[in-house]
Amino acid sequence: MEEYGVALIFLCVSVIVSVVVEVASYVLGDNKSKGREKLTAYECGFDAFEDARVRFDVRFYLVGMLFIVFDLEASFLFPWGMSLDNVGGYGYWGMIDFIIELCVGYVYVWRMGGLVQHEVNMGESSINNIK
Amino acid sequence: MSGLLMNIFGILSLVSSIKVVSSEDDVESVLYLVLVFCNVCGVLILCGLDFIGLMLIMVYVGAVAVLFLFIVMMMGGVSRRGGGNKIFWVIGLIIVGVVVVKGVYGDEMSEELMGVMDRKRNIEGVGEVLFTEGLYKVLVGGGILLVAMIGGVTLSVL
Repeated sequence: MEEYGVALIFLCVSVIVSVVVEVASYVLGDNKSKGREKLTAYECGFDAFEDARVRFDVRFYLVGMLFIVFDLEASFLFPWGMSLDNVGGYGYWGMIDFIIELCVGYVYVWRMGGLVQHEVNMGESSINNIK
Repeated sequence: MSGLLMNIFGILSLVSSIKVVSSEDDVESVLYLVLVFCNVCGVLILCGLDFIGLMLIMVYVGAVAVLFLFIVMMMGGVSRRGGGNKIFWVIGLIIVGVVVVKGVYGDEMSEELMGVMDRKRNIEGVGEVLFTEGLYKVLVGGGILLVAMIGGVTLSVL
């Protein structure tokens, strides 16, 4: 585990830097002028219109889920590539079968239109209003 | 040194996993979950399982925790958690504690894990076990991923 000593040094430095920044901003900052107005969200001079957590289209979630599936596939490919000398044809064709399984799913998603992003209609009326 | 680091990572992961279930804000819970994964990665690397630890970061922190954040954001802040019933807490903590103690102090280790751990390079051991004896598990996992893709499309596109 000696080769991870550098990572440990990075970890210590990042902890130290974040603690220093936090403490320094608390010590050096102006703590007296804390008020309600300073803590509110600023939105062009108005009160905040809505919650910062907006709902968005579920298709983004689908793309994220497909990313996880192929991320897992890539993480299986790493040990497969490292041990190809020792697993023989059995392991080789097993991985090919695994890839084919996921390719079937990929083609299915593609044909069903899961990867198509709908064009967002930004509303021409608002642009005309600005003009 | 290694034992001290192991204790630090273990205690941090325990504390942040308690914060996952006890913090009021959902987003805060997910961020503490990321912290749990990072600390467990440290423990795994100290055990000599560096490939598995880094995969934990890549898959769980890089992908699954981001999806959790998606879900939490899609909830739109309606699901602020109340106090909940504390008796379920106690029961759950007892069960988890028994599992953890059994895992740490139990002296049985499966043969597959031994085959992984006594290699110099962890990733080769994982590959050999995964693609010889454990190949059917990989293929079954591929089938499960296929079902997950089809289910996601069915729920969101159709």
